[in-house]
Amino acid sequence: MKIYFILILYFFGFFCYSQSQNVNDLITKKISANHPPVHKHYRSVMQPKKNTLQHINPFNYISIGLMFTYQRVITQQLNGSCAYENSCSQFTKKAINYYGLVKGSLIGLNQLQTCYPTSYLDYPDHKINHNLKIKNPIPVLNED
Amino acid sequence: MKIKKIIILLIFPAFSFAQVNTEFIHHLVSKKLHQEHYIYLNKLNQTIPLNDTVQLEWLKWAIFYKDYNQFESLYFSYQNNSLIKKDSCLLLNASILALKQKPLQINKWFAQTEISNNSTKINQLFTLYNLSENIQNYKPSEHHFISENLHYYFNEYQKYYTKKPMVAAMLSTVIPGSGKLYNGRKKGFFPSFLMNTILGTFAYEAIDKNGINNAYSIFSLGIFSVFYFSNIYGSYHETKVIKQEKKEELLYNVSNHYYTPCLYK
Repeated sequence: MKIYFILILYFFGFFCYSQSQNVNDLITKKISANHPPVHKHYRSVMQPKKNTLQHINPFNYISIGLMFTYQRVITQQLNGSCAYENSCSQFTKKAINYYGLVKGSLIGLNQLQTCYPTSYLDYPDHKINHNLKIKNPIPVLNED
Repeated sequence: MKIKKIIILLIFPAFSFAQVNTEFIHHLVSKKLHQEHYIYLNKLNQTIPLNDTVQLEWLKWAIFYKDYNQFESLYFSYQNNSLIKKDSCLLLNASILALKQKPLQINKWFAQTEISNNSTKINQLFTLYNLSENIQNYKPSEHHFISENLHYYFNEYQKYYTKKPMVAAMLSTVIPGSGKLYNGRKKGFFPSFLMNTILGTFAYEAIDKNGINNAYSIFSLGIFSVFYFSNIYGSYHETKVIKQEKKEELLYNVSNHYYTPCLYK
């Protein structure tokens, strides 16, 4: 019984994860259709090197899937607004995808702790968008 | 003789039509007709061979519509074009675009020392970029061409460059949120401190009343420890991030300082 439950949870997480990826792909395709490239050019997206275990880690899929469900079901009922451009759940989802479960969720929770209406006063002008929200892409650190 | 003249007369209009219509391009730019501009340049590609002028127009197009990736791929494929290397306005605008869009991954562009001598502005821009790469060597008295406004950003970056992530983590361990103060995020301190204090108090009260083996105590202690460790790791991570952020801020302001709208004039 337990195994069935774990399997269902795994597939549910994987399904939600792939759903969120599809939405991103569709948006990118739509943007690239409006702005056709001059020559064949592939945009390089910086991704960390992951080993096989990191690729198939079920906890990553489950946690990202849960974040996806939270965004689709719970957030819409709350009517809250985040101080950041990428909301805390969206940022955590991306951070888990980039850094892995432990680091990603710790960074995401750290953002949640600093999510305060006047947080934007700590940031330089070019980091704030026209809606007074802080631009917070996943930081790609240059580890020298 | 007559036949030759007739042939020349026939060929001349064909050549005169197969030129880049700069006035038309200026009109497209002033009306911000991105798609039409792209279609026109593509048509030029089909009608006349890809000469130096057309290559220059493609590069201008990529810069004007702020696509550095596109510009870089085109620029390094048009290496033999001598016209590009002489156009100081194009090189200046390309350097500015590089600083604005990819401030941390443009070593390839600024490694081209031969274009740095094109004009004084480009030379200064290259010097400033190299200075930001070796911020330890920055001394305000040595560089007289840097404006006061830019000196401020250089000093800021130099100040944050020496900050250590471990110190931020240690401070956050002692007083939750103080690592954020160390990182210069003054507004981030209060909510972080408050959240950790409230969760800590809940956990303490639950353990005090029910003992450590109680489910509620374990739950509240778990929640508190997750937030506590995230605060420590977050401060550690933020110190690294803030160094890059300060560098980005510096290069952004440098690019704004040197910006001149001369591309289509």
